[in-house]
Amino acid sequence: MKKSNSLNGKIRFFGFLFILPAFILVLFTMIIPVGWNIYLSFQEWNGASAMKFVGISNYIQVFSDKATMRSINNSVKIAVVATIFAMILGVFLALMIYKVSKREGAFYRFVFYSPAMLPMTVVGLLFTFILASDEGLLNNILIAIGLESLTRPWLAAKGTVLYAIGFVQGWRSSGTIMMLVFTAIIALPKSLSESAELDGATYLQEVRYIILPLIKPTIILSLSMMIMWAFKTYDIVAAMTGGGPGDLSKTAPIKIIEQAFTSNKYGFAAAISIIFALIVIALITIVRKGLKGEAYEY
Amino acid sequence: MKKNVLSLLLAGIMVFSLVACKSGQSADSEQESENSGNGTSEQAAETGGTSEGKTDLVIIITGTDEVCPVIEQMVLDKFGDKYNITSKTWDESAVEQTVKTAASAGEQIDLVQYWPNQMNSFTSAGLAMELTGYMDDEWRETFNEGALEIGTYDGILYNVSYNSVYPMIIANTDILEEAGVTISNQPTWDEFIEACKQVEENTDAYGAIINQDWSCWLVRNGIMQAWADDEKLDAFNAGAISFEDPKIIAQLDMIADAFNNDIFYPGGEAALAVPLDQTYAAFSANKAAFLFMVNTVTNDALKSSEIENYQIIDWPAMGTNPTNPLLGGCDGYFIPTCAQNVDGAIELMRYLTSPEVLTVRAEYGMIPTAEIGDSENINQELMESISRCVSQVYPTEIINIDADLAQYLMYSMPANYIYDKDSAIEEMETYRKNAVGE
Repeated sequence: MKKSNSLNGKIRFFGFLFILPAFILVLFTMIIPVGWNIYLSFQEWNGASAMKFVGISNYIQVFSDKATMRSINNSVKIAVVATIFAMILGVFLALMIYKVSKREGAFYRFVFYSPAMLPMTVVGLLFTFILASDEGLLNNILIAIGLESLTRPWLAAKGTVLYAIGFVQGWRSSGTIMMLVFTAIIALPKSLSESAELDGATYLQEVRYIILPLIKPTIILSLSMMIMWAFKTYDIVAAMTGGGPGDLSKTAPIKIIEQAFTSNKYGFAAAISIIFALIVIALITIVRKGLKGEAYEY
Repeated sequence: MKKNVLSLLLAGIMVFSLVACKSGQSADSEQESENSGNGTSEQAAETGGTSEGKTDLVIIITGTDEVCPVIEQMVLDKFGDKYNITSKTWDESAVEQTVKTAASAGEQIDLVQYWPNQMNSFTSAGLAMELTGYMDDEWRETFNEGALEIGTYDGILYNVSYNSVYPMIIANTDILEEAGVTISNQPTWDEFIEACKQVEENTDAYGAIINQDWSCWLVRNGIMQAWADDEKLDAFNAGAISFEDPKIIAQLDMIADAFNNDIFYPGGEAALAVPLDQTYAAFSANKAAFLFMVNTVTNDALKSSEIENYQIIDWPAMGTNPTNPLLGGCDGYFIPTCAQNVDGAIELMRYLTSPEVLTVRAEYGMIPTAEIGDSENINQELMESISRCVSQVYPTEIINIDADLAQYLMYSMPANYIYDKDSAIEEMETYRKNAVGE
């Protein structure tokens, strides 16, 4: 018994030593900044003079300020579009790649995953040129194939700018979703698909009745991660539209930066960020609870 | 036993590598500080101080204009032996954030280039150093009349200007000729719009192009020129007049009509989202007759667009005020309160506003606000045409009363007005009332 306790103690000690560097990193890059942000959200501070405790007035101001609520609304719209597009495209690509040969599959995986390797700012700048009204590639292709009526000022029109940003973000993230789902699919026992084939099931039936139900936990995980990523819109929006024209595409992260560094309202900016984070957490929780279903063992 | 030793060794290597990374960063920054005095631009050291008998000096003055590296080299040649100069790149979109972050962290930044008429976000937070006491008579006399007023807030000088900046227009006279249009150098807004319409009727080109970041000038000039005299203008600039005033609405409607009538390339809402490089590309491809431009980068714009036949036109008068006040200001320098080498910053500021440096700026097509020397390299004809309106530049603007209102007018207008007129007026009015305590 003594020897067992001593061994457990040693294991715990060495375990603690190994996680210590990572824990220190997480402490200083995440836990302390988040705690400081929560504290700051109850203060009025212009960055130079002393802080003043103001209770929940910053939070009240967030909900009463139309421009702030609009920016949060814009963030949610972009996130929804990006998530839906990334998930549908990612799962579709994974299912298609699963059926091709190994060599071809490796090539396609590289091609479809490569957007995820590009920095978001580079992707944003690239699509600024593609979506430009006059000299943009998309509008010129539409004109060339006789669909001039479909041309739009994609990044300037009220009805298209948020969707355009959402699609770009979704496209970039679809590669990562594809890889996660593909990894889950190839982990499934081959015997299941073989027996389905013997029973005369088509690939579509196999996908619907076997593959998708069995990879559901991975899909839920991918969805949670995608929702988190989709709300991080500062870099892509800054690169594509800068939040404009006007406030059309101004998202919560841009509003936070503006309130902190231009308006010198650090407390208000912190309150926006806390509420924004709570919205993201709530969405992820709802999605996870909503999609939770039966678990399968195989 | 072997496993224990191996585990300890692995844990020790991980901890050591973390410590080594930190030491590596410190060594790099020391090396960079050493190099910076020899003429290279590097990242600043974390704290001010001295090394090798030279005090540190951290500056953010070097932008992307053609003249900037030349000026930076002059600074390094002049002061490199006296100071360890670290020059960070000046980025319009990030300079404010950089300075405020540094101030919060107590990091050293000694001299920053910034617009004297937009200092309110620094002065309101106590982040700009008072320069009144450093401005002696000898230095003051080198400046043009009124040049220092623009960086003065409540009687205290915070920012010293070096360049006069205001918006104007470059006209492609080949397109105007094709359209059968003649326009004076100082048109009214109606004359300008009429000329644009004729261009669009008689050629394939649009009337005008304006960069998405500069479209706010239309609104800022419009609301400035809404008033019949300077007294009313001063009252408006102080926040005493509502944005719901019919004169303001009339000006904003006039601007919105120009966009709705496809005066601006490439027409419709898309004209609100044209980046600067696309404006140059479109202008050089003869897609519009008039290019809205800043006077100080006219030289660069003419080189980029390769337009040979052009006419410099003043901003169209949008009102009836006889003084025709013009939006504009200056480029200037200020010293943040996180500066740790104030004497060095003042010395550098004096040099940067001296005839030696300002003459070089004039050679690159800028309009200095202080004395310059003689130089054969100054294009006198261009200088005269892009400095015609210096005396019209109005020293105050309504954006000075509140940072939120400034942000709104500079980055959200005229788009917000075109998309939702009532909401835009309501928001501006809310910011105005908050600023004046109504």
